[in-house]
Amino acid sequence: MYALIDCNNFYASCERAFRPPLIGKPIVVLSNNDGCVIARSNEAKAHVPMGAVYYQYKQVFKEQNIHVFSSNYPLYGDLSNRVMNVLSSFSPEIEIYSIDEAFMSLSGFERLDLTCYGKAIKEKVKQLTHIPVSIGIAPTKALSKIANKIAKKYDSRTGGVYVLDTAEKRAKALKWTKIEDVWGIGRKFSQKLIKTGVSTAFDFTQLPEEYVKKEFSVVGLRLQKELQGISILKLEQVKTKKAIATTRSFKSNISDIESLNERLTTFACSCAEKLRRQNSFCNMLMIFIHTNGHRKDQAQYSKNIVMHLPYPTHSDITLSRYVTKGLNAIYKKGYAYKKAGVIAMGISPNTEKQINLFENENPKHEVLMKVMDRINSRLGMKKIKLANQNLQKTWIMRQDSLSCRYTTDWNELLKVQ
Amino acid sequence: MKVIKLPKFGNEIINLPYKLSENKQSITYYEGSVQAGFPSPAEDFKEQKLSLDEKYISKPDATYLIKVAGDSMYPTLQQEDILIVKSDESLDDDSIAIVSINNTEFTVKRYDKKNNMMKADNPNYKNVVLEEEDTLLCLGVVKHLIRDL
Repeated sequence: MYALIDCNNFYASCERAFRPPLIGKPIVVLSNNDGCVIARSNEAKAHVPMGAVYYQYKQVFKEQNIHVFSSNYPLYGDLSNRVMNVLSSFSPEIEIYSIDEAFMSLSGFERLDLTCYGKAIKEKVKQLTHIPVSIGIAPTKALSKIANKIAKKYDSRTGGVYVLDTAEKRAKALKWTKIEDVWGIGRKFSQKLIKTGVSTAFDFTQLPEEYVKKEFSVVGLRLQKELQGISILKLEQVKTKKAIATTRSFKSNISDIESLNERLTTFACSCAEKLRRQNSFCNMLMIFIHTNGHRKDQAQYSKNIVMHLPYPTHSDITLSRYVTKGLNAIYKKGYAYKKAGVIAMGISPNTEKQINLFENENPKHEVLMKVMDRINSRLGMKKIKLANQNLQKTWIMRQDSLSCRYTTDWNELLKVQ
Repeated sequence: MKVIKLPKFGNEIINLPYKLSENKQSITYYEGSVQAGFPSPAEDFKEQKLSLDEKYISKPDATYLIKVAGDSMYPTLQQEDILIVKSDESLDDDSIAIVSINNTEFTVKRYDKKNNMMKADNPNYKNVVLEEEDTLLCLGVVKHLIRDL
């Protein structure tokens, strides 16, 4: 059996964890730069659609007394870690699927009352981290997704935990699930299925195997089996990330190469820092720049370049040197760039670092980076930067309604009277 | 120019060097002092490190640091104290906890189980008697405090 544990309205729940007056009140959380709504509490859902543009809804937020927050990823990330760690004490195998979702293998736990076990998990997570979760338990991963939806939708009846353990329950749940809501079905698949008269997950399970394989390939067949209760998809082991990326859309367009270089250098340093934090190196670097594709009236240009590095590295200095090289190669004058990014690839752990006979990084980089990380983490801000990064605050994200970083910053701890 | 004189350590004080390893700070504790010349007989013994994290934050996922900003619990707690709060501890009689009554902002109070109320140690503050219809939300129980002297 598999369980899918999903945090209820995760970002909103994080904002509530340290501020009980927000319980039961409508909350929305905005994307980076306060662009649009990326999370809503249940109370806000009736008034604000997902992805609503912030400035267009300012009036609605005011009229409905909706609490608006800039995204506070240090807080969400820390609480997510806490939730995942608590979950891993309930099963030896869990797969962290996203910031607020995890699959858990319950094989060997079948003799337990799984509803009880699920409730124990839910209670423990709530007690230790103050984050409410819903849990769906079923014989396969795809079915556990559906069970989770039922647990969430009928929270008062299920108590937030639903076990899909009999054939009758499964048939009922599959008939209740629209085909386009099935996990991993994709828009193209579901449109094609709807055209052939398949409107629920149940209809899909009734299709002949040969037909599904022919029309929807192995992927479709795998999904059909999963929905029939035959487990095909196993938990994915946690690996070191295959690629690390930092990409951003700019608030206003950038045309000159100097400013672009400054942005890309900063992105490269952010990638390098992420690499150092997980103790790994990269040996390939990709950068891209592109104009605003939505503005059909403007001249369009987009280009990327992949560079092989002479040795594995996680040094700010090395990465930024290659970023500048790459940018010089792909930059074209006369365009208004809207987005750029740096992606570090070919990632290997610290232990697998090969020694190159002819070309190696200056060993001083390693020491320097350690010192920089230590000072920056102590100051809580990026005070030490490379000289080709901007030291002024001009690029600081727009975060007008940011809550405190209660769990990650000494100066922003919760204060009690 | 002013000359600052460094204080001399007396015989009874030994300067303990400490290491910074990632986030954890450990203090290396040496038994006896080191002498030059003859190899130290202590070399074969692995040095013992004392970690404050290990002792006071044994379950980091259930530990929260919270700052005191009022004097309702004076003299037990003082302003600017940092409280080490554990959400895996149960709210027992006479324990100090971070609580919210009926979804108000969190406060720090002492739990009086017998009289079913949340008490302030400072007599200038009122105690709150918990009624049947009240909801009590507990962030965690205060187990330790850190205070600058």
